[in-house]
Amino acid sequence: MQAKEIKEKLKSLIEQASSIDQNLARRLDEINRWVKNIKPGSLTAKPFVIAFLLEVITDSTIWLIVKSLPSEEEQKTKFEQMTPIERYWYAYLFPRWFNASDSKFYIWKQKLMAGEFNQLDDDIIKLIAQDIVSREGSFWQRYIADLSMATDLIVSRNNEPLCIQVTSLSEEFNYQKYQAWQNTLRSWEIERGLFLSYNPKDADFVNQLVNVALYNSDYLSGGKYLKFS
Amino acid sequence: MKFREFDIPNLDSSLNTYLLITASMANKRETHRCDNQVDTFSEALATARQMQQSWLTYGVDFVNFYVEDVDGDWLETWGNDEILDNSRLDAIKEFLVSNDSVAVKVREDLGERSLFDFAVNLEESWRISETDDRLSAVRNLLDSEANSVDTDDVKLLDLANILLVKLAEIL
Repeated sequence: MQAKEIKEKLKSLIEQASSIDQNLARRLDEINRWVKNIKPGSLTAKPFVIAFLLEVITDSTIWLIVKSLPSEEEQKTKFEQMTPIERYWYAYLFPRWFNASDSKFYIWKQKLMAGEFNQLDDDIIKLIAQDIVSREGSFWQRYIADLSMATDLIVSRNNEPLCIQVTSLSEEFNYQKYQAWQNTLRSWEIERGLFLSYNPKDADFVNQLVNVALYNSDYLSGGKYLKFS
Repeated sequence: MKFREFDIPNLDSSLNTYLLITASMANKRETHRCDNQVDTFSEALATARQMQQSWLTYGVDFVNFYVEDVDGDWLETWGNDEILDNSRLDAIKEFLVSNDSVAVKVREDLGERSLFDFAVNLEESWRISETDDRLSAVRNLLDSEANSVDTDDVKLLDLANILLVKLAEIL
Protein backbone atom coordinates (compact mmCIF):
# COMPACT_ATOMS: atom_id res chain seq x y z
CA MET A 1 0.00 0.00 0.00
CA GLN A 2 0.93 3.64 -0.26
CA ALA A 3 2.02 5.42 2.91
CA LYS A 4 -0.87 7.87 2.62
CA GLU A 5 -3.28 4.92 2.90
CA ILE A 6 -1.99 4.45 6.45
CA LYS A 7 -3.50 7.77 7.33
CA GLU A 8 -6.82 6.81 5.78
CA LYS A 9 -6.73 3.55 7.72
CA LEU A 10 -5.96 5.40 10.92
CA LYS A 11 -8.86 7.77 10.38
CA SER A 12 -11.26 4.94 9.68
CA LEU A 13 -10.12 3.23 12.88
CA ILE A 14 -10.70 6.44 14.84
CA GLU A 15 -14.24 6.49 13.51
CA GLN A 16 -14.81 2.82 14.33
CA ALA A 17 -13.30 3.18 17.78
CA SER A 18 -15.44 6.20 18.64
CA SER A 19 -18.48 3.95 18.90
CA ILE A 20 -16.69 1.03 20.61
CA ASP A 21 -13.95 2.44 22.80
CA GLN A 22 -13.63 6.18 23.34
CA ASN A 23 -10.20 5.93 24.92
CA LEU A 24 -8.77 4.09 21.96
CA ALA A 25 -10.34 6.66 19.61
CA ARG A 26 -8.74 9.44 21.64
CA ARG A 27 -5.31 7.82 21.58
CA LEU A 28 -5.47 7.21 17.82
CA ASP A 29 -6.52 10.79 17.28
CA GLU A 30 -3.59 11.90 19.40
CA ILE A 31 -1.27 9.84 17.18
CA ASN A 32 -2.76 11.37 14.04
CA ARG A 33 -2.13 14.86 15.36
CA TRP A 34 1.30 13.87 16.56
CA VAL A 35 2.34 12.66 13.11
CA LYS A 36 0.93 15.84 11.59
CA ASN A 37 3.08 17.98 13.82
CA ILE A 38 6.38 16.17 13.56
CA LYS A 39 9.04 17.44 11.31
CA PRO A 40 11.27 14.69 10.01
CA GLY A 41 14.70 14.85 11.53
CA SER A 42 16.98 12.23 10.13
CA LEU A 43 16.37 10.17 7.02
CA THR A 44 16.32 6.99 9.06
CA ALA A 45 13.29 8.12 11.06
CA LYS A 46 10.60 7.38 8.48
CA PRO A 47 10.79 3.56 8.56
CA PHE A 48 10.44 3.65 12.36
CA VAL A 49 7.44 5.95 12.22
CA ILE A 50 5.84 3.67 9.59
CA ALA A 51 6.65 0.58 11.68
CA PHE A 52 5.03 2.20 14.69
CA LEU A 53 1.94 3.20 12.70
CA LEU A 54 1.59 -0.27 11.18
CA GLU A 55 1.79 -1.74 14.65
CA VAL A 56 -0.81 0.63 16.10
CA ILE A 57 -3.16 -0.04 13.19
CA THR A 58 -2.78 -3.81 13.43
CA ASP A 59 -3.25 -3.86 17.19
CA SER A 60 -6.21 -1.50 17.16
CA THR A 61 -7.86 -3.53 14.40
CA ILE A 62 -7.56 -6.70 16.47
CA TRP A 63 -8.82 -4.99 19.61
CA LEU A 64 -11.83 -3.51 17.82
CA ILE A 65 -12.77 -6.82 16.18
CA VAL A 66 -12.74 -8.53 19.58
CA LYS A 67 -14.53 -5.72 21.39
CA SER A 68 -17.26 -5.44 18.76
CA LEU A 69 -18.36 -8.99 19.54
CA PRO A 70 -21.67 -8.87 21.40
CA SER A 71 -20.99 -11.13 24.38
CA GLU A 72 -18.16 -11.37 26.91
CA GLU A 73 -18.06 -15.07 26.20
CA GLU A 74 -17.36 -14.53 22.50
CA GLN A 75 -14.68 -12.00 23.31
CA LYS A 76 -13.09 -14.42 25.73
CA THR A 77 -13.05 -17.12 23.08
CA LYS A 78 -11.10 -14.82 20.75
CA PHE A 79 -8.49 -14.11 23.42
CA GLU A 80 -8.20 -17.83 24.03
CA GLN A 81 -7.27 -18.33 20.38
CA MET A 82 -4.17 -16.25 20.95
CA THR A 83 -0.83 -17.49 22.25
CA PRO A 84 -0.17 -16.58 25.93
CA ILE A 85 2.17 -13.78 24.93
CA GLU A 86 -0.33 -12.33 22.43
CA ARG A 87 -3.06 -12.59 25.01
CA TYR A 88 -0.89 -10.73 27.52
CA TRP A 89 -0.46 -7.97 24.98
CA TYR A 90 -3.97 -7.68 23.58
CA ALA A 91 -5.99 -8.39 26.69
CA TYR A 92 -3.75 -6.65 29.20
CA LEU A 93 -0.95 -4.29 28.17
CA PHE A 94 -2.34 -2.77 24.97
CA PRO A 95 -5.65 -1.67 26.55
CA ARG A 96 -3.77 -0.42 29.60
CA TRP A 97 -1.71 1.74 27.29
CA PHE A 98 -4.57 3.49 25.55
CA ASN A 99 -6.65 3.74 28.71
CA ALA A 100 -3.86 5.46 30.61
CA SER A 101 -2.78 8.98 30.09
CA ASP A 102 0.72 8.29 28.86
CA SER A 103 2.89 11.10 30.15
CA LYS A 104 5.82 9.71 28.17
CA PHE A 105 4.01 10.27 24.90
CA TYR A 106 6.05 13.38 24.12
CA ILE A 107 9.32 11.44 24.46
CA TRP A 108 8.20 9.30 21.56
CA LYS A 109 8.76 12.05 19.08
CA GLN A 110 12.30 12.53 20.26
CA LYS A 111 13.04 8.84 20.29
CA LEU A 112 11.40 8.00 17.01
CA MET A 113 12.81 10.99 15.21
CA ALA A 114 16.29 11.12 16.69
CA GLY A 115 19.18 8.75 16.95
CA GLU A 116 18.06 7.34 20.28
CA PHE A 117 15.93 4.88 18.46
CA ASN A 118 18.64 3.59 16.23
CA GLN A 119 19.32 0.70 13.94
CA LEU A 120 21.93 -0.75 16.30
CA ASP A 121 19.46 -1.20 19.15
CA ASP A 122 16.93 -2.63 16.74
CA ASP A 123 19.54 -5.10 15.42
CA ILE A 124 20.55 -6.30 18.89
CA ILE A 125 16.95 -6.76 19.99
CA LYS A 126 16.34 -8.65 16.75
CA LEU A 127 19.33 -10.97 17.35
CA ILE A 128 18.06 -11.71 20.85
CA ALA A 129 14.57 -12.42 19.51
CA GLN A 130 15.97 -14.75 16.84
CA ASP A 131 17.92 -16.70 19.44
CA ILE A 132 14.86 -16.93 21.68
CA VAL A 133 12.81 -18.40 18.84
CA SER A 134 15.57 -20.89 17.96
CA ARG A 135 15.39 -22.14 21.56
CA GLU A 136 11.66 -22.69 21.48
CA GLY A 137 10.78 -19.50 23.26
CA SER A 138 8.44 -16.91 21.89
CA PHE A 139 8.67 -13.14 21.87
CA TRP A 140 6.56 -10.06 21.21
CA GLN A 141 8.16 -6.86 20.07
CA ARG A 142 6.18 -3.64 20.28
CA TYR A 143 7.32 -0.06 19.82
CA ILE A 144 4.59 0.95 22.26
CA ALA A 145 6.12 -1.33 24.90
CA ASP A 146 9.56 0.04 24.17
CA LEU A 147 8.60 3.72 24.22
CA SER A 148 6.10 3.71 27.06
CA MET A 149 6.78 0.64 29.13
CA ALA A 150 10.59 0.37 29.14
CA THR A 151 10.24 -3.05 27.54
CA ASP A 152 12.32 -4.06 24.52
CA LEU A 153 10.85 -7.54 24.27
CA ILE A 154 8.22 -9.62 25.96
CA VAL A 155 9.50 -13.15 26.29
CA SER A 156 7.81 -16.41 27.14
CA ARG A 157 8.59 -20.12 27.08
CA ASN A 158 7.06 -22.30 29.75
CA ASN A 159 5.61 -19.65 31.98
CA GLU A 160 3.84 -16.30 32.00
CA PRO A 161 5.29 -13.57 29.76
CA LEU A 162 8.32 -11.65 31.07
CA CYS A 163 9.14 -8.05 30.11
CA ILE A 164 12.79 -7.44 29.38
CA GLN A 165 14.82 -4.28 28.94
CA VAL A 166 18.28 -4.55 27.36
CA THR A 167 20.98 -1.97 27.90
CA SER A 168 24.68 -1.78 27.07
CA LEU A 169 27.32 -2.02 29.80
CA SER A 170 28.24 1.66 29.61
CA GLU A 171 24.80 2.46 30.93
CA GLU A 172 24.90 -0.22 33.57
CA PHE A 173 26.21 2.16 36.19
CA ASN A 174 23.34 4.43 35.60
CA TYR A 175 21.50 3.38 38.72
CA GLN A 176 18.83 5.96 38.00
CA LYS A 177 18.04 4.28 34.72
CA TYR A 178 17.43 1.04 36.58
CA GLN A 179 15.26 2.84 39.12
CA ALA A 180 13.30 4.58 36.35
CA TRP A 181 12.81 1.20 34.67
CA GLN A 182 11.41 -0.30 37.85
CA ASN A 183 9.07 2.62 38.40
CA THR A 184 7.84 2.44 34.84
CA LEU A 185 7.08 -1.28 35.12
CA ARG A 186 5.34 -0.76 38.42
CA SER A 187 3.21 2.05 37.02
CA TRP A 188 1.93 -0.24 34.26
CA GLU A 189 1.41 -3.04 36.77
CA ILE A 190 3.71 -5.33 34.86
CA GLU A 191 4.10 -8.47 36.94
CA ARG A 192 7.59 -9.65 36.06
CA GLY A 193 10.53 -7.77 34.61
CA LEU A 194 14.19 -8.31 33.77
CA PHE A 195 16.79 -5.55 33.30
CA LEU A 196 19.71 -6.89 31.28
CA SER A 197 23.06 -5.22 30.78
CA TYR A 198 25.53 -6.46 28.22
CA ASN A 199 29.05 -5.76 27.14
CA PRO A 200 29.09 -5.22 23.37
CA LYS A 201 32.76 -6.30 23.31
CA ASP A 202 31.86 -9.74 24.55
CA ALA A 203 31.39 -11.88 21.43
CA ASP A 204 28.97 -14.20 23.19
CA PHE A 205 26.70 -11.58 24.74
CA VAL A 206 23.55 -12.43 22.79
CA ASN A 207 23.79 -16.07 23.83
CA GLN A 208 24.32 -15.08 27.46
CA LEU A 209 21.45 -12.62 27.47
CA VAL A 210 19.10 -15.19 25.99
CA ASN A 211 20.18 -17.77 28.59
CA VAL A 212 19.29 -15.38 31.37
CA ALA A 213 16.09 -14.19 29.71
CA LEU A 214 14.74 -17.68 29.08
CA TYR A 215 15.76 -19.00 32.48
CA ASN A 216 14.00 -16.12 34.22
CA SER A 217 11.04 -16.32 31.93
CA ASP A 218 10.62 -19.88 33.18
CA TYR A 219 11.42 -19.36 36.86
CA LEU A 220 11.17 -15.74 38.00
CA SER A 221 8.28 -15.49 40.40
CA GLY A 222 5.43 -13.01 40.05
CA GLY A 223 5.77 -9.50 41.40
CA LYS A 224 9.56 -9.58 40.89
CA TYR A 225 11.87 -7.26 38.98
CA LEU A 226 15.40 -8.47 38.47
CA LYS A 227 18.58 -6.78 37.33
CA PHE A 228 21.28 -8.80 35.63
CA SER A 229 24.64 -7.71 34.33
CA MET B 1 2.76 -4.14 -4.77
CA LYS B 2 6.26 -2.85 -5.28
CA PHE B 3 9.25 -3.65 -3.08
CA ARG B 4 12.23 -1.56 -2.42
CA GLU B 5 15.39 -3.24 -3.53
CA PHE B 6 17.77 -4.34 -0.86
CA ASP B 7 20.02 -7.28 -0.60
CA ILE B 8 18.57 -9.66 1.93
CA PRO B 9 18.97 -13.43 1.89
CA ASN B 10 15.74 -15.44 1.67
CA LEU B 11 13.85 -12.40 0.50
CA ASP B 12 12.14 -14.43 -2.21
CA SER B 13 10.90 -17.17 0.04
CA SER B 14 9.65 -14.70 2.61
CA LEU B 15 8.00 -12.67 -0.11
CA ASN B 16 6.30 -15.80 -1.39
CA THR B 17 5.09 -16.66 2.07
CA TYR B 18 3.67 -13.21 2.50
CA LEU B 19 1.97 -13.27 -0.91
CA LEU B 20 0.57 -16.73 -0.23
CA ILE B 21 -0.85 -15.55 3.06
CA THR B 22 -2.36 -12.48 1.41
CA ALA B 23 -3.82 -14.61 -1.38
CA SER B 24 -5.25 -17.10 1.05
CA MET B 25 -6.80 -14.24 3.02
CA ALA B 26 -8.41 -12.89 -0.15
CA ASN B 27 -9.66 -16.37 -0.94
CA LYS B 28 -11.10 -16.72 2.54
CA ARG B 29 -12.92 -13.45 2.09
CA GLU B 30 -14.61 -14.82 -1.01
CA THR B 31 -15.69 -18.14 0.43
CA HIS B 32 -16.66 -17.34 3.98
CA ARG B 33 -18.55 -14.13 3.77
CA CYS B 34 -21.19 -15.46 6.13
CA ASP B 35 -18.66 -15.91 8.92
CA ASN B 36 -17.09 -12.54 8.44
CA GLN B 37 -16.20 -11.81 12.03
CA VAL B 38 -14.18 -14.99 12.48
CA ASP B 39 -12.28 -14.37 9.27
CA THR B 40 -11.41 -10.76 9.96
CA PHE B 41 -10.12 -11.75 13.39
CA SER B 42 -7.96 -14.57 12.03
CA GLU B 43 -6.70 -12.33 9.25
CA ALA B 44 -5.81 -9.51 11.58
CA LEU B 45 -4.01 -11.83 13.98
CA ALA B 46 -2.22 -13.50 11.05
CA THR B 47 -1.09 -10.05 9.87
CA ALA B 48 0.24 -9.18 13.32
CA ARG B 49 2.16 -12.46 13.46
CA GLN B 50 3.45 -12.05 9.92
CA MET B 51 4.72 -8.57 10.75
CA GLN B 52 6.58 -9.91 13.80
CA GLN B 53 8.08 -12.60 11.62
CA SER B 54 9.16 -10.10 8.97
CA TRP B 55 10.66 -7.86 11.66
CA LEU B 56 12.52 -10.88 13.06
CA THR B 57 14.23 -11.40 9.72
CA TYR B 58 14.64 -7.90 8.36
CA GLY B 59 14.40 -5.58 11.35
CA VAL B 60 12.69 -2.27 10.68
CA ASP B 61 13.18 -2.79 6.91
CA PHE B 62 10.15 -5.11 7.13
CA VAL B 63 8.04 -2.01 6.53
CA ASN B 64 9.02 -2.17 2.86
CA PHE B 65 6.93 -5.32 2.52
CA TYR B 66 3.83 -3.42 3.49
CA VAL B 67 4.40 0.11 2.29
CA GLU B 68 5.80 1.04 -1.12
CA ASP B 69 6.91 4.60 -0.53
CA VAL B 70 8.42 4.62 2.96
CA ASP B 71 10.95 7.26 1.92
CA GLY B 72 8.37 9.38 0.08
CA ASP B 73 6.95 12.67 1.29
CA TRP B 74 4.00 11.18 3.23
CA LEU B 75 5.29 12.53 6.54
CA GLU B 76 5.77 16.06 5.23
CA THR B 77 2.27 16.11 3.71
CA TRP B 78 0.43 14.17 6.46
CA GLY B 79 -1.84 17.05 7.55
CA ASN B 80 -2.16 18.83 4.22
CA ASP B 81 -5.73 17.79 3.55
CA GLU B 82 -6.93 19.10 6.87
CA ILE B 83 -7.79 22.65 7.66
CA LEU B 84 -5.07 23.81 9.96
CA ASP B 85 -7.02 25.69 12.53
CA ASN B 86 -5.52 25.42 15.93
CA SER B 87 -6.16 28.61 17.78
CA ARG B 88 -4.95 27.09 21.04
CA LEU B 89 -1.54 26.37 19.54
CA ASP B 90 -1.45 29.91 18.16
CA ALA B 91 -2.23 31.32 21.62
CA ILE B 92 0.51 29.17 23.19
CA LYS B 93 3.03 30.26 20.57
CA GLU B 94 2.12 33.89 21.07
CA PHE B 95 2.52 33.53 24.82
CA LEU B 96 5.87 31.76 24.58
CA VAL B 97 7.47 34.55 22.57
CA SER B 98 6.03 37.28 24.82
CA ASN B 99 7.78 39.26 27.55
CA ASP B 100 5.78 37.57 30.29
CA SER B 101 8.16 36.51 33.07
CA VAL B 102 7.01 32.87 32.88
CA ALA B 103 7.56 32.81 29.12
CA VAL B 104 11.04 34.26 29.64
CA LYS B 105 11.85 31.57 32.21
CA VAL B 106 10.62 28.86 29.86
CA ARG B 107 12.78 30.21 27.03
CA GLU B 108 15.78 30.29 29.35
CA ASP B 109 15.11 26.70 30.35
CA LEU B 110 14.75 25.56 26.76
CA GLY B 111 18.00 27.17 25.67
CA GLU B 112 18.85 25.93 22.20
CA ARG B 113 15.81 23.68 21.93
CA SER B 114 13.07 24.49 19.45
CA LEU B 115 10.37 26.77 20.80
CA PHE B 116 7.96 25.62 18.10
CA ASP B 117 8.38 21.94 19.03
CA PHE B 118 7.89 22.85 22.66
CA ALA B 119 4.69 24.74 21.81
CA VAL B 120 3.32 21.76 19.89
CA ASN B 121 4.15 19.39 22.74
CA LEU B 122 2.74 21.76 25.31
CA GLU B 123 -0.52 21.96 23.38
CA GLU B 124 -0.61 18.15 23.37
CA SER B 125 0.02 18.00 27.10
CA TRP B 126 -2.74 20.52 27.72
CA ARG B 127 -5.21 17.91 26.43
CA ILE B 128 -4.33 15.52 29.29
CA SER B 129 -7.28 15.66 31.65
CA GLU B 130 -5.68 14.25 34.81
CA THR B 131 -3.97 17.17 36.61
CA ASP B 132 -0.98 15.25 37.98
CA ASP B 133 -0.33 13.56 34.65
CA ARG B 134 -0.52 16.88 32.88
CA LEU B 135 1.93 18.44 35.33
CA SER B 136 4.33 15.54 34.99
CA ALA B 137 4.10 15.70 31.18
CA VAL B 138 4.93 19.42 31.19
CA ARG B 139 7.73 18.91 33.71
CA ASN B 140 9.19 16.27 31.38
CA LEU B 141 8.90 18.64 28.44
CA LEU B 142 10.93 21.24 30.27
CA ASP B 143 13.57 18.72 31.23
CA SER B 144 16.41 18.92 28.75
CA GLU B 145 17.08 15.21 28.96
CA ALA B 146 14.38 12.61 29.09
CA ASN B 147 14.51 10.70 32.37
CA SER B 148 17.32 12.88 33.53
CA VAL B 149 17.87 12.94 37.25
CA ASP B 150 20.62 15.50 37.42
CA THR B 151 18.29 18.40 36.85
CA ASP B 152 16.76 20.23 39.75
CA ASP B 153 13.47 18.44 40.01
CA VAL B 154 11.80 20.95 42.31
CA LYS B 155 12.77 23.86 40.08
CA LEU B 156 11.36 22.13 37.00
CA LEU B 157 8.16 21.18 38.77
CA ASP B 158 7.71 24.77 39.94
CA LEU B 159 8.21 26.09 36.44
CA ALA B 160 5.78 23.49 35.03
CA ASN B 161 3.30 24.53 37.68
CA ILE B 162 3.41 28.27 37.04
CA LEU B 163 3.35 27.63 33.30
CA LEU B 164 0.16 25.62 33.65
CA VAL B 165 -1.41 28.30 35.83
CA LYS B 166 -0.52 30.86 33.17
CA LEU B 167 -1.97 28.70 30.40
CA ALA B 168 -5.19 28.30 32.36
CA GLU B 169 -5.46 32.09 32.33
CA ILE B 170 -4.90 32.58 28.62
CA LEU B 171 -6.58 29.52 27.10
